[in-house]
Amino acid sequence: MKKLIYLIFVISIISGCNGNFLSPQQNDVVYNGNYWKSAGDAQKAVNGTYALFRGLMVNAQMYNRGDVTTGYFNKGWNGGSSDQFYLPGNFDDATSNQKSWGAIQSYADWSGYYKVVAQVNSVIYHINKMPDKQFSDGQKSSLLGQAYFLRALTYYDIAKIWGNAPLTLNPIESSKQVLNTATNTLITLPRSTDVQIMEAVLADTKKAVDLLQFGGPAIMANKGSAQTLAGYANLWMAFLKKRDGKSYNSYYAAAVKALEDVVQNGGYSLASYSSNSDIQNIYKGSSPEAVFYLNISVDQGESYRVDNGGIQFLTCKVPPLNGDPTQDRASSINWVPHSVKKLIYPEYPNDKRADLFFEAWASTYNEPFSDVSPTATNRDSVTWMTKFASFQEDPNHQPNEFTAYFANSDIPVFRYTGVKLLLAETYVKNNESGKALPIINEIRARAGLGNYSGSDILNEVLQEETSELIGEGKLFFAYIRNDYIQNIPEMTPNRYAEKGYYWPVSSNILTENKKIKQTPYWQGKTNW
Amino acid sequence: MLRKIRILEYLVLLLVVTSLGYGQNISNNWYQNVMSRSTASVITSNAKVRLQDALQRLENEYNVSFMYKSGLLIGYYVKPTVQFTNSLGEKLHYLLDPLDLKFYRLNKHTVIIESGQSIKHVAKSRIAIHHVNGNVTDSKDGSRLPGVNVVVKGTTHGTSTDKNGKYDLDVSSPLDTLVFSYIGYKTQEIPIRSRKTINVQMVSKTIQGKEMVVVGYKSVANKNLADAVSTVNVGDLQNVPASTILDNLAGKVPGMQDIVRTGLPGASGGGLVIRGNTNLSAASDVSGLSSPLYIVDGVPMSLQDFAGFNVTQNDFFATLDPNNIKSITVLRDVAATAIYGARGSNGVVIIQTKQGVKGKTRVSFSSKNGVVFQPSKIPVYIGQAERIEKVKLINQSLKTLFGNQPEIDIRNGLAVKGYLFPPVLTNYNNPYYNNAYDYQSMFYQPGFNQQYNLALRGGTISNSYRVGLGYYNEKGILKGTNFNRFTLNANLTSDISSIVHNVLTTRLVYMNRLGGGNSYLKTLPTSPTNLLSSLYYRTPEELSLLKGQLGNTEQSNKTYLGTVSEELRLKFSKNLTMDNQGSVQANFGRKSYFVPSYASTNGFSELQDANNNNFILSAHSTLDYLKTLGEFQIAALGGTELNINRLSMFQLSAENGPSNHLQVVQGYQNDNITGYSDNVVSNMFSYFTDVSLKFKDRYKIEGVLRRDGSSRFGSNNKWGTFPSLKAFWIFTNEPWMHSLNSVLSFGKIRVSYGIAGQMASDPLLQYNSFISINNIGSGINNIYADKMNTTTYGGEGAVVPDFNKIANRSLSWSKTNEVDYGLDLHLFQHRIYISSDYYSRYISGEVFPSMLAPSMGYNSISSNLVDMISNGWETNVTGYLFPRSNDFQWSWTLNLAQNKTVVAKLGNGGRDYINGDYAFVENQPAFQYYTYNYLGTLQNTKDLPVDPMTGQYINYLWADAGLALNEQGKIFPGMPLFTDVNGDYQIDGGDYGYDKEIIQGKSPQPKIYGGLGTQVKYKNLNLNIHSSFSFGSWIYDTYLHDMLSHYDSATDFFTYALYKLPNIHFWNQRGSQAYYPMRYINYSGGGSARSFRNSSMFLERGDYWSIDNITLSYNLPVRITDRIGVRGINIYTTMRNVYMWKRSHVPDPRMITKEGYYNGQGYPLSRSMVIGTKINF
Repeated sequence: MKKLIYLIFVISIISGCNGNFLSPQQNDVVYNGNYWKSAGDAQKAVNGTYALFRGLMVNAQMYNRGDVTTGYFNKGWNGGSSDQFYLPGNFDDATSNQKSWGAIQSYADWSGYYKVVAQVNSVIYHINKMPDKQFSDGQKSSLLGQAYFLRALTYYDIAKIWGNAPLTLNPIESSKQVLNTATNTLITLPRSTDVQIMEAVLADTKKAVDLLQFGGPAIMANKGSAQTLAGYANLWMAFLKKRDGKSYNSYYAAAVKALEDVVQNGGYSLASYSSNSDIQNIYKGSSPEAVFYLNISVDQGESYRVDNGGIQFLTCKVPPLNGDPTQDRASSINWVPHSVKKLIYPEYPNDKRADLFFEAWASTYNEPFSDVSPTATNRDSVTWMTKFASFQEDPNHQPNEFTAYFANSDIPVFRYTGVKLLLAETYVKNNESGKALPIINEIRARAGLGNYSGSDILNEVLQEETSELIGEGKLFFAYIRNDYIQNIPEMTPNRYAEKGYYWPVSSNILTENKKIKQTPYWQGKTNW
Repeated sequence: MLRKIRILEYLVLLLVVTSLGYGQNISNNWYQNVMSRSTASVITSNAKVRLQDALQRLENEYNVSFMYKSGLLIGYYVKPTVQFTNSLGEKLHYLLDPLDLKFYRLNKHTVIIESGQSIKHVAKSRIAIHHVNGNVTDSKDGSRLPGVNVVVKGTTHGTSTDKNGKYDLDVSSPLDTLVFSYIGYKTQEIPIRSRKTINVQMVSKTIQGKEMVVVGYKSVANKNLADAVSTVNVGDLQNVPASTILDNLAGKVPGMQDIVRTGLPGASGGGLVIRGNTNLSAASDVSGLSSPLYIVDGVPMSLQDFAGFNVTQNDFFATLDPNNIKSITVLRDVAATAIYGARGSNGVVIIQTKQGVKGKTRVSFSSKNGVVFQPSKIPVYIGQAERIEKVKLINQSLKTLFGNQPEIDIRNGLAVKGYLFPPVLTNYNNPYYNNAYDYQSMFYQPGFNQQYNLALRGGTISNSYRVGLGYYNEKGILKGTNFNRFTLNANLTSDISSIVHNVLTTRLVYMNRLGGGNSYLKTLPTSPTNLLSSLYYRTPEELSLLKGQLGNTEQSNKTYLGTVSEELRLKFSKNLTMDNQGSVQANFGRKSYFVPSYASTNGFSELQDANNNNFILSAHSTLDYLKTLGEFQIAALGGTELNINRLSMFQLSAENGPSNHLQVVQGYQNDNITGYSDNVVSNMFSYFTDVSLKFKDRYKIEGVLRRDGSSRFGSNNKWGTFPSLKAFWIFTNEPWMHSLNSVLSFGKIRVSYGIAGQMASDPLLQYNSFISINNIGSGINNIYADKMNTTTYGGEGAVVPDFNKIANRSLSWSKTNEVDYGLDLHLFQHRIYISSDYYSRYISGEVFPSMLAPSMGYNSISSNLVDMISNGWETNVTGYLFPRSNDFQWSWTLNLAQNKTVVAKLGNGGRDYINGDYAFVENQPAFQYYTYNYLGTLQNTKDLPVDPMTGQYINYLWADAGLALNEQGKIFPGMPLFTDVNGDYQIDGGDYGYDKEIIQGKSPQPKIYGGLGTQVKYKNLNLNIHSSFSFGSWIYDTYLHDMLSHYDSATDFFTYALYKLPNIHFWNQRGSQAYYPMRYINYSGGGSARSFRNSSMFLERGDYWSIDNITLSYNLPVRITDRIGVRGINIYTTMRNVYMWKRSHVPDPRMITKEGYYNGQGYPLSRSMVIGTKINF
């Protein structure tokens, strides 16, 4: 009898050990197996995608790539952006000694962008799989639309910066997608062409436009954001097609359609330009100009210190540490030398944007000022940008610490002024110059200027984009798109023809992925 | 849920059956005669009783023993004895005469009963012509042994010792040999040789190494093993004063290394490694060691699993009181460990606590008390001596550099006398600079340790018990450190019926450790190699901190450990046994510390409170079948096992406290409180079988197969199979070898092959996971404290994937394939024992991260990637210089092992893997040093290579010194040269990472290591010396590096202590052959050509030979113990860490991390000495 009892016990234990016993629910880890159960989960994952993209953009990515490279800014005596941004030439001699120079090479590394891609691919896959009943009305479309928008935006950036690059739209759900377990070799992706990437961008943008509605906070994507992206992406695609000798006119038409939708149905308006604080308020989500911004807010605890990083560190005079003038580190900011000012505001002093967007525009300095002999330079006469000079003292500041300042200015991805100017550019290209002129004149009027009387309307559109959007990460790409190289001596016609506007890829990419070769123009020109 | 209940039921049933058993059969009859087959029952007045029972009653009544041939009395029943007959003789006649049985009295205590027919033989042996008597004692503690059988060899004639261990016996010839036998002791044959008195010390079998060992769910006699298995002599551990047995296992088992990381009593950090470390993780504490699987009273546990869930950082090994340990068995080869499957490949250590012994209740008590000596202080210049020496050094180094104009300021080239000297060296009279603190004397104190143990054991024929109580206390040599331990071990063994046997073991441990603050590595208030200058004024608060004031504040690290192990054996028949064991271990830890406002850096109190609750539940059932068919013996075992681990912990920290009286988390602002908790579940289910076939007494082949399913592995890979096959041949049992037996008494050849596994320590590797984002704010800059911890977007929650984790559904254990060849020899009539093993292991698929291509988004994936090869041999030689029956005994034991473990395949795209200061290279041992390669000092500038592009001498990169003199980066004679790895004609001037390389041929792995022990014994006196050694490793001398690095910075030079370094020679003039470069104080301070940075300059040979302990013990003679009225007294004295020979500068080359770095700064291993007493009542 006893034998029997024990036998039963042993058998019951064996049979009890089904798959569940060997796959218990873990409660100290959030994983795909226990996530994606509610709309809240989906919302958090979409928020995470925004946050990841913001984390990528927060370190002055847009400014460094889109503005410093235009040659309008000079490096401060004591620092600023990496040298190569100011004159984006060879990358083989950054300093005389350093074998690898982290900062600039990190801009050649696309891993941050692909982190956003990995997240957003997963978000799209899982939200699509979730049953509709988990969501309130329209919520699923909205979340999916935002995700498609974010993927399109990220790939648009990748295509602008690197041209040919890996393209993946599949979520990574299992190690099998990255590792061949049979051979223990890693799976890598080759580059797709820039045109292929832009096709994917346009496809995602179209889905986003269809899924999203107008309205809602500007820190979340809506139909206006998606249509704006459609405008930018179609223009970039047109540029690529034209470059490759393919037909491109249909993209202009598509862009016009998208951007007109934003202007007519988006409910945005131009903000008035009267004081410095007006300008700084434009870069807050509540501004009527805010089409799509990345949220930075001290009140919400989503900010960063401006003392040593971000766009404020590079462009603004931050209050000296502890109020101690000897700790004034303004000598490391980017400044605008007198010699290029006429390229930005040719009609100065009539153009009031010069004084609203910049401090001491009238200054005639052409050389950087020095920390070594502070008395030799009047620091109040150095021209720096004040667009983003919105920061707050550390709310948790302790009496025995240095006073810290936190950024309080959103990162503007799309601003309405940019949308209108882009529409003007598209009208010109689409042979509707007549429609472009009113837009130009509206923008000029706000800046205190009279109607445009010249004949080269495209040139004037680009001039207004320069004057308006400086510091917002758009200019370099607008110039490349239009072959409008007015102040970048390094961008020779040859280089332009060899697609030298694309960035090289970092050594990290080359070593970890044997399928990737250095970007053709940069072969032999980098030391990594 | 259903399953949980089933497991619970299983345990409950085991307990119920057990407790039922305890109700029966408990009586006080302890008497045991080797030839009687008595059972306990009471003679009633009416019924017939068995003759055996009647005689037994008489044995008790008259204090005699009856001796008779087995089977003689069976079937006889008698009526109860008549009450009025008083003499024993009358009673015996009454009982025996009707049955035709004869009896006669052999001596005072022995009566022989024979059948009537053999009376003639009896008559012959009754002619006693020689009288022998003596005492029989236990060789270990000198206690008297009652009931020992003393028989004349070749006859049934004999007696047994009385309750005082005395015997007397008449023998027929003075040339006879007496045979002394006793359960649990080795049988001894001693020729009388006409002696009148023969005192005998019985030797416990466990000392002789012929015992049964527990291997893979069964007990096997040593000679029947085909595996590489060693046992630790537990007796040796008991006399050594140490909080943890880990400290005393060095050199005790061939091939086993003990990695000691701290001398702090009771603190964890170290562990055991068998056959070389194969853990490649960056962790240098116990979680980074390839720790074996520990099975304590049937509870299997992995120290790696626990590492993150032990908030107290108390040592697992400290929970084991050596006085309660019966055996420590170390299974080294994979064939032996394959039956432990996915957790067996690092070896298995089986620890069993003591069990009850049948017999009268015995009490033993032991105590030891002793001192722990303060470590020797590092010589330091103090007060005025420091000032004078520092000034002298500055002048000297500038003179060497610039000739006779030492007042030059190398920053700006201006000659300004006195500019170089800070006020601390010049402002003699300022009380702020005029001090002479001897910091080392502030934080050391003489330590003290004491240990008391009390054990009771005994039982009836069917039940036995043992209860052991222990207390250990050590006051550390560092002020504020202390360790307390209470242990209770209880064991109850019951033979409930001829079928059901039950063993219940419980173990309770409480430990409390003080000191060590947050980390066991940061024990000292200040590192002895980073002492502050003795000159600067320190506030009384600072001084009291150094004197260990923090140790007196509220703080503790408490461990509460409870283990219940229930073992039920069902012996269905002679051939078939079922073993069921269920065990639970509960480990509760609590750490708390409170730093009062006067001791904290910001003037506010702070505290931390942390708890962990860890449960291991383990149950297994095995069916054991044994059958002998002619000359074949078949044994088969099959079983299932279930393991459940529930690990959880939480901690709360708070700062800016309201009051020094609130020492819990109350009244703190929410912003000042941070918390963390974790909870991990892992389950495992296994079944296994073990089949062996033995032919004659010399051939055996055995096969083992185990299947493991674990929740830790990906769904594609839940189950693994682990087979092994082993065989032996005892060639000395071959008839044709018998003629050699006097030389070669025993010889066995073993061959085994097996596969075992090892799980990665992170139980959650198979999952991808989401984490809160935190990538703005802190990433931008962290030069000052950044208060924003961003985890939201737009004020709402946001999650992102953990880019270091991808769901790896194929994740599995690493597999170890091993072949082991063994040879066991006993030479010259068991005077020399040799046991040797040669093994070759291939470990495939160690879990290791691969870096992914950046376009994957994810950074890395952990997969079964790295392969390692490990080859080596081990040998154990034990020799007895004199015959084993002599009064004078001298024996030696040598354990020797060599192991070479190299990385066979690295994955990582064929590249070397470099992480921080170490590298993995294929075909090289793991953990190669990756640092600057020191080439020696420059003797002459002209020796320097010239850059062909510039025509300049090679110089230091980014060394500003000499800028103003147009000599930036110039290398002067006496300065160190390092390899210019990147070939840019510039030697990295600081620690910027440009010219580091993998240092070839200097691995931290020792080439040969082991232990040597000797035991000298004369009658009651016993001397035991144990030493351990290691040769062939290269270690990094962080100790010297710390002290020398202060020369690299002018600020450090002034603000830190100046050490006297009598054995360190620095370059001081051209032609100097000194190994270390010159000290160019202040010159390097202006720039950064740091001479004493991390570099191969500090790699030293790690060879050492340490005399770990010496014990002298004495068993008090019987005449003295008789007078006191106890059975035996043993007194002893032990000195620990007696002497060490070493080739490195580090104080203790045993305290080396697996990466090779000296780590004794936390708390040194100290010398200590105790005097102890053991009394058996």
